[in-house]
This record gives sequence, C-alpha cells and structure tokens, in this order.
Amino acid sequence: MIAIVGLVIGVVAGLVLQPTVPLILQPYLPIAVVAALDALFGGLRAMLDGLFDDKVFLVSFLSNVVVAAFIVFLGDQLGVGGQLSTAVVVVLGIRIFSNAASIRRHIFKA
Amino acid sequence: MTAPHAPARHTTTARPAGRRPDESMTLLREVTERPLDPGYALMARRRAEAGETTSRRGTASALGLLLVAVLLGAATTVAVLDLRAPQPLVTKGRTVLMEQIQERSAEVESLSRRSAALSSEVDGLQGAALLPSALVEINELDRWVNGAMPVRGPGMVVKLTDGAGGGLVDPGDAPAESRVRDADVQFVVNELWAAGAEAIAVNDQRLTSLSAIRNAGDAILVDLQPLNGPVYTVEAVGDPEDMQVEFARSAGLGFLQLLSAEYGIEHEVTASEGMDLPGAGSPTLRYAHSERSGGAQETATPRASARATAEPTQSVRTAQSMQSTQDRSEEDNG
Repeated sequence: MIAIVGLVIGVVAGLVLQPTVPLILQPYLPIAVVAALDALFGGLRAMLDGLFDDKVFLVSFLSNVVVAAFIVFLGDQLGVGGQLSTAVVVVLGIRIFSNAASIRRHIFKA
Repeated sequence: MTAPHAPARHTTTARPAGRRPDESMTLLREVTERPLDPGYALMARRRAEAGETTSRRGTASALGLLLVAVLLGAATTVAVLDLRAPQPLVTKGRTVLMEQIQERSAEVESLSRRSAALSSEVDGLQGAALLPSALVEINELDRWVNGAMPVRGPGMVVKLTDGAGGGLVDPGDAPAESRVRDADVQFVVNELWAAGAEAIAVNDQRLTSLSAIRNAGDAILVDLQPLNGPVYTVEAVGDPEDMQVEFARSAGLGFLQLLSAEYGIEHEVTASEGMDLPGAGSPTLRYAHSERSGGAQETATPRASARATAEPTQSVRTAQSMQSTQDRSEEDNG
C-alpha cells in the first residue's frame, strides 16, 4: 500500500514540477521507462497472485531501472549500446508480455 | 527370449528422469515461464512461516519505502514526459532561426525607415538649394513620374493567387507551374501601363522607371525586395473606366484566363476608388552636369537612364499627388 501511495504522489509531483532531465541521462530514459513498466506489471501480477509485497516491489523496481540504465551505459562505453538496448528491451518485453498474460488469466479466467 | 530386449530398447528411447527436450534453452524458459520476481514468492513463504498474513514493519522502514516509491514515481513520470516532448535540439534550432529572422526583419525595417527619412531629407536639400527655380517644377514632375513620391487616386487592382492550395502547401507537393512567376506579374504590369496606368505598385512596392520584376528561385523580387505570396496584388492608379476598357481590350484578360485554365492561378480584377501607393524613394543621382546658361548655377537633375521591364509603354502621368493637385495629364499623352 505504501508503495502505491508513494508512486502516485511521485507521479503527481513529476507532473506538477516538470523538472528538466540532465542531458547526460537522456540516453537511458527509454530503457528506464521500459524497466519501470516491467516492474509495474510484475507488481500487478503479484498483487493478483496474493503475493504482493511493498519492499519486494520497490526493490525490484529500483534495481530494474538501475540495472537497465547501467547495461545501456556499459554498452555505450563498449560501442554496442544499440545492441545491448535491444537485448534489454527484448528480455523485458517478453517478461511484460507473459506477466500481462498472467494478469489476463486472473481477470478474465481465460 | 524377447523379454530382455524390450527393456533394453525402452531404456534407449526413454529420457533420463528430470530432463526436458528444451533443456539447452534454460535461459529462454526462465524468461518465459517464471517472469514473476522470485522475491515475491520468497517473501510470501517467509510470511507464512512467521504466521503473518500481512507484513509488519517499523515506521522508519515504512518511511524509507514511501520515499523510494515517491522518487521512483517522479523519476518515471519525468522520464516519460521528457521522452514525449519534441526533440529539444530541433526545437532549439528552430527557435534560434526564428529569433534570427525576426531580428533581421526588424533591422531591415528600421533601416528602410531610415533610408526613407534620409531620402526625403536629400530631396528637400536638393529642391531647396541646388535647383534653379525653373527646374524645381520639372524635377517635381519627374519625381512623380519616377514613382519617387507617394500618390493617391482611383484605379484598378489585379490580384494573382498561386494555384493548388495557394502556396500554403508543402513546397514539394505543389506543382511548380502553379505558382505565379515573374513573367506573369510583368505581363500584367505592362498591360496596365499600356491601359493607361499612371502609377503602379506590386504588393505595396512602388514601381519606378528603373524597377525590375524577376524571379530568384521561387520568390518574385521587385527591386530586389521579395514579395510575399501566395497573393500578388498589382495596384494601378489611373482613370478606372478607361483603364478597365483598355485592359479588357488588351491581351491581359486573355492571359489571365489562360493562367487560370492551364495552371490554376486565380485572378481577380476590381476597380478601386481610392488607393494609396507608397513612394519608392528618390532614385540615386547618377549623372549631373553644370548648366552655364542664365545664372551659371550648378544643377543636378536626377534622371532615369535605364529601361526596366516595368517601363511605362504608353503614357505616364501621376494622379493627384499627396502634396499637390497639379495635373499634367495632357502634356505627355501620346
């Protein structure tokens, strides 16, 4: 519950304040957003499974975003930034898809 | 005797226990079959062992979680907003270009104002000091004919509009032939001169005896000043009735109809009661010679020495000038 309330407050704060993102962080934004989506879907599925836990949710959220950004950073340094971004997007995309399928089974029983 | 063979055959075809056909693809299987973070299951098991249904934690821990959640929510929102914003570099480039255009336009405007003020000053000085009284009047009349002075009077207006969207579509989409070109404007202007126009302005750009109408790329220039499309307005001061009759009799109307039929260039010919045409400023003094007759005074008369595309072909007379109502229409007809 704490996690959801906090996220909502954060979203509202972000919408109201609209701070500018430093130029250095710009390349990591797309992948960070995909990682955040993955964590959100995972949390939703856990909630439907009855296993939801604030701490696990937030830690997975944070680590997803940080690790995804770090992989892209590493790729940029090694000159394979584009390919590594694709890899991250593929893995996270598959996870999002199967989590979404699980959520759909919970909701529609089909 | 067949019995021993059967189990042997069976063992060769059977898989060892616990092995799967897709064993070599554990990574993909892991990804597709267990997308849920194992942490959730672990936490649930721990809670079950502790005999709790919901996890309990201290205030500090709850506050920490709340803080992390707020930060993550804000960061994600900001990232999404930033990604959805138009590309900052492109926007920045456009802003810079727009600023430059506005800056330069303002500069041009202030410079042309200054130029107009200075040339009227020059006119005043020339008229007052240089010219003998006999030439002042001629000079004045010259300046009307040359388009140096603003005039007001009745006349007719011809409007040409670019075909196919009026030039407001993407330049790549509009066929190039459907745009008004210098030759079209030249033709209309020449026909108007022939029909008895006394002063002509194109898009408020007064034509002098030295004016040139020509194309530079896609733009039409009058005296090196680009005209803003898609509507080109040719205003001619003169006797409205005579001019309309003459214009209708000339090749002008036929040409306009050809333009609209072939290229979709629309035209509109109207009579106007009162039009103000701006002056083009005094022409540069290119030639002067001293006149020994009479008072042996130095004279300088601005003379137009070149012929231009918009040269009046038949007669030129100024309408009522803003400064004077003198009429000299009779003396240079024919």
